[in-house]
Amino acid sequence: MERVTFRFNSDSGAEYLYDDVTGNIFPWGSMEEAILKRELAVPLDDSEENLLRSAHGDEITAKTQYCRQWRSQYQAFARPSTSGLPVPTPDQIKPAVWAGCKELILIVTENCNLKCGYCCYASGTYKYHRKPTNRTMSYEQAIKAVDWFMDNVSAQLARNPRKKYGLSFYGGEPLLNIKLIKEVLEYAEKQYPDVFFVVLTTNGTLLTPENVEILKKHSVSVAISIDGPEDEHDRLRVDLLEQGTYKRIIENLSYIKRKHPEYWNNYLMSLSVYDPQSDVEKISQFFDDNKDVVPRCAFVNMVSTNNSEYYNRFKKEDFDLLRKRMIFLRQKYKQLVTSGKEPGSYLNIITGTSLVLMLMRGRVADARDTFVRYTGCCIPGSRMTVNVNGEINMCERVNGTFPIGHLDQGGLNYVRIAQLVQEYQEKILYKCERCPITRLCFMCFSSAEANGGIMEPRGFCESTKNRIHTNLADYVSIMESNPDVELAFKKKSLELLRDRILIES
Amino acid sequence: MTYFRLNMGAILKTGGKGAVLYDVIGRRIFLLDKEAQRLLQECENRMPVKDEGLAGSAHRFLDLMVSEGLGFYYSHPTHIDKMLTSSPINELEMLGPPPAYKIVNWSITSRCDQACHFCPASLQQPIWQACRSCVRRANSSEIPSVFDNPAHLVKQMADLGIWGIHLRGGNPLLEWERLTAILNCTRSQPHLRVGITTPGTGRAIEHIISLYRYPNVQLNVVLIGFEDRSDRRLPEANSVRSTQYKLLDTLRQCNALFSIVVVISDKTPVDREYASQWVFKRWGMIPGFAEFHPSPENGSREFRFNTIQTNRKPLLLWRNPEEFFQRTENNACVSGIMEITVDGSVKPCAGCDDDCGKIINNDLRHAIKGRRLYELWKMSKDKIEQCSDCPLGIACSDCLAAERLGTIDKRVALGYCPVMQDGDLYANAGRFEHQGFVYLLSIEKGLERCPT
Repeated sequence: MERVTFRFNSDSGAEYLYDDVTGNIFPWGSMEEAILKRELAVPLDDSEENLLRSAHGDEITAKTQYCRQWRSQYQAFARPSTSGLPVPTPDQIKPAVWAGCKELILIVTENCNLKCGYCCYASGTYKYHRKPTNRTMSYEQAIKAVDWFMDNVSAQLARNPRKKYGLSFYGGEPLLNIKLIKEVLEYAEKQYPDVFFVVLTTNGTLLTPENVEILKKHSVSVAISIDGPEDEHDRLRVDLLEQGTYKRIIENLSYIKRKHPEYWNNYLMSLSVYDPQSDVEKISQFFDDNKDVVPRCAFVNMVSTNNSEYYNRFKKEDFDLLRKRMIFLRQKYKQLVTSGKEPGSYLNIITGTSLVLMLMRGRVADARDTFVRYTGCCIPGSRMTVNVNGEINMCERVNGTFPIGHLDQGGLNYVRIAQLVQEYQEKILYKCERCPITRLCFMCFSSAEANGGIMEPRGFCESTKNRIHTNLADYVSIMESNPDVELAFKKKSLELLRDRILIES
Repeated sequence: MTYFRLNMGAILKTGGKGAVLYDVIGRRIFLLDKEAQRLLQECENRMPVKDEGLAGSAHRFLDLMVSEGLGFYYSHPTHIDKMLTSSPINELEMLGPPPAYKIVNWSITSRCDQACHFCPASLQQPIWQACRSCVRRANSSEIPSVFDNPAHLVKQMADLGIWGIHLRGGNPLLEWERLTAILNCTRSQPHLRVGITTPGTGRAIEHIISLYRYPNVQLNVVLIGFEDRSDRRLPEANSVRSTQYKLLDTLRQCNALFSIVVVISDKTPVDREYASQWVFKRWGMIPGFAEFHPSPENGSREFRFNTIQTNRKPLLLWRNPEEFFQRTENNACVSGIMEITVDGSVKPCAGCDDDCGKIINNDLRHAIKGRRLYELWKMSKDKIEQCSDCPLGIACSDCLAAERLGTIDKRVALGYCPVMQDGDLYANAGRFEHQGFVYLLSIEKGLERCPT
């Protein structure tokens, strides 16, 4: 039996306990701690013994009963030790993969008209990722992927006729292969009507009037990379001639706003990436000041640290400054939310998302897959990514050195997937049973990827625990400060999460 | 300063009719008087407990709440993260988990060999739990092509996660081939349970008994024999009654699984209690009830559904916290259930007339793709006009068809809820039917058991 809780304080100094068994947050104090220890047969120290002796008998009785209620109903606070997670066989892994599959991502080209400074493909700082090439996906390969996908999710659709799947176009720059995108959309609409929601991730430079007509016609949600005001954006988002791209993108967006205001409003979103030299305060202000042209920000991410030399260029001062700016933004966000005001879209994402995830955390009745019971990991294949040549990866984020199948070789290789799951269990999940934040952890295959497989990322668990600790404290502080904020916050959170699900495709 | 907060599993609901405190894990319901409501609302709004209160009755009341494990004192305006058993992400509809499909009520024929005075029922007719009975709706025309390929439909139902198929009519025994064809299809779905609701007439008893050759079959016999009684003796002279009783006696002798539903109408000369005892005495089981009243055009007098007997509203306790939260978001009566009518329409139940889709080419999946069915499933008490102001909704299990008709015809609403007009729940505590899980809480009197 392993206790899986941790204590934290809100800004007001109130104490709380997070319990990973139930996913609940309990107001906590020395007496509750002593009572729980006694219930779990953990030796009490002298001060705890004294506390229980000197406290009011009725209060101790009531709190003990309360603790026992949670223990008996949900086995709260402590997780029984097991002999480890079950290792999947290929036969077991097949239904698990397809039951959890929610998206088909097509890499329609490996080419790009930009050469962004942090790009995992083009910057040369990510050693395991592929390099840009002129290869594009053929129509036959794309249609084969769509049919294969639909064939395999048929059981899931039979269970849930309302289910919709993401169909995402990714690159390189996918608009370099707009002809294929158009053909695939026409095919999918005809063969599988009302099954897909379509998302395209683009650098925004090729949003020409002709391309926009096609995207609008097929109700494609478009996520456009915009890293902030011109100087911020053009610092890293440059074309092959090292020229900035900001002006071109803004021109395109202005055109869409003018010609297709409803489409702009309902289907366009911004993605933003930052690094230690980004002035995130200024970027946040930029999104607030330019919301007439720049679509609302729906996803903000730091440049990936995985297997990269990208961060070698930064000094300690850069990281310190970024940390300071992030703290400032977080304070600002908390002030706005607690006073019932609406934060701007960038602020809402860069700060709010981590708090949203606290609110949306899993609870006791939320089922988790037996084979990857802990962390934020899915069974490989939930976001099936098909490369230009038909090779299949578990999602678009992984580096491509451990594919899980090939369209031309019978689809998924379930033996390989079972091996990968086992590897993840052995290298990552082996210690999670004792971890108090498994319901909040965001570790997955992509954050643990190495060359050809999985490797435990150094310091990940410790830094995640620290982040979760801060996030929970901020979440509770917001809730403490204003009794009315919870409902509005929840509503907003669901909207944010819906966007996130769309955008992550 | 001292603060008092209710625990995360103690959910306070307030409305125009007063306040109810739900002890979700302890499975108790507390009706609050106005003073207790005011005090707890202040506490829930993070207001400190007043000093004068600490010395007096309010303090005693809060101490009582502590000793009952419903809340504790704190030195800070503490946030209580109210209990949930599932992540709010489940509210993301099609992006979330699949709907929890449970039961299909499948009306396989509109033919019937009886001529009950309340059947076929008009759309305006107040009906209580028509789904349990064999009542037909007026204007329902049978489309045989719906039954072209029962194997395909049954397979689709099983794929959806449906665990119960309830075959209704009219009298499904009159469509023997269709009935047995469907039962044959269920053989390949061993997890499916099949109920057949029938008056039990129109077919020889040995034929009816032969239905038990199919796996997981259970008959539900609709007793219409109480209808034409003129006194309280129960002679079996009436041929329908005689047939029904013989069938039920035989089923009992065979140890077959069966259930009984008693139909009550405005012309039924016995009340629910009497019928219930009589059935229990003869066949050893408590029957279910379905109830019919004349539509507003045909009757003007006030009425009370007999099912809500002697002016007492039945309350239903949740089995576990998961069910409690399920009820807060869903209509407990219809959630997970759909009715397929003889013309292939999909409705939430036999009593509601909302068309939620149509089965074309034996495709059930396409018929339930739209939003309407799920909107009705999610029509919790908060969304029922006459119930939205009542904080007791989570423990109240009404028939959705009656609720919806009640929004149009107030007589119907009053017919199933004795406290609807009289307001205050605490003052009307004696009007609830429950099994000892309801308590009264007041500042003055503390904790008392609510009369059962």
